[in-house]
Amino acid sequence: MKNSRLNATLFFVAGIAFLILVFYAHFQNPQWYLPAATSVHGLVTDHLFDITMWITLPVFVITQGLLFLFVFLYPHRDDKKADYYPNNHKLELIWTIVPAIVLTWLIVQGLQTWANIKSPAPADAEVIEVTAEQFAWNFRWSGKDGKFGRNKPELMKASTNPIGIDFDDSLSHDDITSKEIFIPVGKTVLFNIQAKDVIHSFYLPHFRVKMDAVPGMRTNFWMNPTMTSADKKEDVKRTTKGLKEVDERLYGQVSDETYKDANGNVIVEKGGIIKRAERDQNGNLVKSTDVVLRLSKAGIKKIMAYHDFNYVLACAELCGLGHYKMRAAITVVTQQEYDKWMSEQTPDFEYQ
Amino acid sequence: METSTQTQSTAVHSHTNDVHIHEHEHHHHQSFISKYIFSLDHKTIGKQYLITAIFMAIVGMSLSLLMRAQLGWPGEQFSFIGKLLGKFAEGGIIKPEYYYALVTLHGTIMVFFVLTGGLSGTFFNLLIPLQIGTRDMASPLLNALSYWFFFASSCVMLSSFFVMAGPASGGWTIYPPLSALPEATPGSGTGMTLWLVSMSLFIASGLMGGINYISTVINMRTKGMSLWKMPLTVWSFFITAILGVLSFPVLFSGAIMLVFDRSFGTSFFLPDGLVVADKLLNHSGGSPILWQHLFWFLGHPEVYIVLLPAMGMVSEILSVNARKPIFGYKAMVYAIMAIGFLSFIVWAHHMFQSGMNPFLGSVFVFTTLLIAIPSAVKTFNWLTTLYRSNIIFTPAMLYALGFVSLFITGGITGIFLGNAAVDIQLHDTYFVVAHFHLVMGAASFFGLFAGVYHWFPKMFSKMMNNTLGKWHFWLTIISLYCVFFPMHYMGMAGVPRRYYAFTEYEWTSMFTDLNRFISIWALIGGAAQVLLIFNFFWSMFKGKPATANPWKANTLEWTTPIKPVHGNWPGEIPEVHRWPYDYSKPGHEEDYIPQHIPYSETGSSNRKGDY
Ligand code: HEM
Ligand SMILES: [Cu+2]
Ligand SMILES: [Cu+2]
Repeated sequence: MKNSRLNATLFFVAGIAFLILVFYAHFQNPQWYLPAATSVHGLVTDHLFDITMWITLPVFVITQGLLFLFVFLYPHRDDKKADYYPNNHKLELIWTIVPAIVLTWLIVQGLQTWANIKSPAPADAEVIEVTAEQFAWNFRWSGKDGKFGRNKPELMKASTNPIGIDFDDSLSHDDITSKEIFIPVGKTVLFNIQAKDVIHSFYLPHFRVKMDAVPGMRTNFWMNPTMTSADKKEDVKRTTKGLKEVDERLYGQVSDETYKDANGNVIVEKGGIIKRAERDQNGNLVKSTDVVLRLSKAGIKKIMAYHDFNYVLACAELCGLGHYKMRAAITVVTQQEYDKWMSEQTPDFEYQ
Repeated sequence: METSTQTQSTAVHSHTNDVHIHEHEHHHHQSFISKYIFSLDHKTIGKQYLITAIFMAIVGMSLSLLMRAQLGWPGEQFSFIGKLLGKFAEGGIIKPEYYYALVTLHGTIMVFFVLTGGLSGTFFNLLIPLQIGTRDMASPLLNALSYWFFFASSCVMLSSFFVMAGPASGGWTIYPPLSALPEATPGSGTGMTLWLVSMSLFIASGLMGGINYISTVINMRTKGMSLWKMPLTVWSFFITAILGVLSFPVLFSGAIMLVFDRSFGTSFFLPDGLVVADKLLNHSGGSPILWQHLFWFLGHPEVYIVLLPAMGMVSEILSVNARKPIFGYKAMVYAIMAIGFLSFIVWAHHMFQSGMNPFLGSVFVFTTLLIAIPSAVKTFNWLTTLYRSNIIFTPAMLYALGFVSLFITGGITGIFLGNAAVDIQLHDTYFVVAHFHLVMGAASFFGLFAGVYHWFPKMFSKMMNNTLGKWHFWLTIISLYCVFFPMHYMGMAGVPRRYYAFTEYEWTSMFTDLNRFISIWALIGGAAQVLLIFNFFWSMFKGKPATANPWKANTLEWTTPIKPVHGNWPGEIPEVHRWPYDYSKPGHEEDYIPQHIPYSETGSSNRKGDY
């Protein structure tokens, strides 16, 4: 049974290679593993993620390992018979009860965390109303009076009054709207979420916030951001900056110096984003716009660069053709900056 | 031919009534049409399902490769894709409307048409009568009807590729209002109507099949085949059929309501104040969340409808080729029952972030994580079955082993997703795509592959080529892992699923390389399937002739003649004396004792507590 041996060995080798690759990929690319959260509750859910990982990883390695090992140890031999071993109640009881205990513990941890996240927001939270539509996000603050004016579906007009503010309601007169989110660091923010047309999902990946925006009802989510956009940007710059080889992987990164070609023409400026070639109307690549291409033509092998970082709001529920680009910016600022920003806004009412 | 059946039938005549009925049909001359097309024979119907499923699987896979082309090389012009898709991919770049149609139909076809209709239809039909020892299904007519409804629903689903605005494009879960409002997306026009018609036919087909499978298992087992002597295949098919019969009607009612909302002005799922493209619609009083409850009440059992039969076949194939009894037979049966029961009370884990009451979420965290217990028991039992075994590496066995590996990998990530708090980050991201493709998609496909390689001799009286089978296995499992494992990382970073491109965000563009890597492996994996298709059709005609019991298995199907006959056994149906897993029993010379061998013939190996 030569063939048996071969397949048994293949299985074993492939299995071990698989386990090694999993760990290798992990240590080669530590930035791929659950990037750190920047909200208070996010740190807790990430911790729960880690606990689950520490429980399941050994189970994964041991069960897969046993599978490959048994396959390796017991390929068919004509001179041998398998064990007749139909059951063992004690063993089966053990591997029913042990997972049950571990899972119970995980359930308890999970439910506590969940209950905290879903508890009512503190009364002093900064409230932002979120209205989703195909394919844009609209935000509203209540202004000085701390109260939102009514909005009415029949007044909704994407170009002029996307959330249908009823200006007959005097509470709306100091309401402030924006297409971007500004929030102060270290303060609780409550998002009240609604949708005009279809289901969307309000997703802030870096803050571990996700809540569907459902037409006909209001949903909400509150959180407490721990890091301003500027600090986070600096942090990412610090951890990713380095001499990088000039190849495809540079696209989207930021150059930390100005690079020029032999004629002294600037290829990319300090702080400039490294862009791919653009296309002309005929769909042909315009090679002269490709930064990586030009760098390598100029004989530059390595450049100083780092990753750019911006917090972002993305849609996480299929809502139609523009779903994949239904984004909005979210900026976390200090309290002073926030107050300043707020004082510079003009309520929509005054445009009327 | 006629005369030989004649003599066989006289031999049988006196025994049972149902034989009598069948033999009457048999005397008529069967034309090609009544024999192969409108056949009432369960074995032929099984093959019809299989061929249809292979076709649908090729379609479903091609759709996924088109998606991977877009995701791996966004904005790249592929002239052959442009030629293939015409206005849906002008200049060779797939348009978003078409990408979303691809996602939707790929999901629908794979889940419903290949792994539910195809997998159940093929193996339940083939194996239930053969393994429990009966001459056909309880109602052969209903059985044939079930297939033809399935066929019709497949045609309707595929026809949606040819409507002007394109096929349905709201995802396989077709959440309203998106799916209810043609104004909201082009695919919600005629494409969605066809989707709903097709699924209604599909559900009708599933119910006819399901009722039939259940009554056959309950009523038509041969003498001695008590429930506790049934192979795990039949157990898993039986429980699966019950799940289907209980859950599909709920989707049916949901679909009907959606049809009413779409066409007759009702508002089951549509609330007040919907404004689409600045137009106020006059629906009132409905709830989009209601659809999600109805859909997932089917949708979750559905993933077990897909998975349990694969588990059953894998248990059987592991035991046969390990030459060792399945470890903990009764525990395996109870685990199937527990999974079946729990699968009805976990549906809202798909809705943790949907805006439903968070307390409801807590209940579903609890039930969801409970399901890990019977799943763990099954895994440990499979592993122990392999312990001190004597493994023969047939292609079917390789697939069964691969199934266990995929099930572990995909199952473990379920524990992350089942915790609502952790799911905040992971819900609707590529972590979920990785999870369900491994645990449901790939694993069930492995069950299907294992089943095809194992029972091919029973279907076509020929053997498949082993070498091709092994190459097919190795290429498939390596590419599957390379495609789906890296997706976990994208999911942790929060890359959402159902995205036409990841180029719109800085935070998703770090995965450009990874996406290309995934797409390349998807193409390799897709190409590897040619080995199976070729092997399948080539072996059907040119394969080595099969022997009566090529794998030395214990179950009853291997006691039927190599060339299948109508009524399955030319003579009397064998009586069953023992459980199906007497492999390598000490004291018996051979390493297997088929179920129909009485204890009186195996004195030397009988022991106390024998099943
Ligand atoms: C040939 C191997 C396969 C590849 C390369 C593949 C690839 C994909 C891709 C690229 C997506 C779209 C992800 C997105 O944009 O969100 C997807 C979705 C999906 N696939 Fe597969 N897939 C494969 C096999 C399967 C199988 C065997 C199943 C059976 C269960 C399956 C079921 C699904 C489902 C249910 C979806 C979700 C559709 C939706 O979001 O509505 N796939 N697959
Ligand atoms: Cu969206
Ligand atoms: Cu589920």
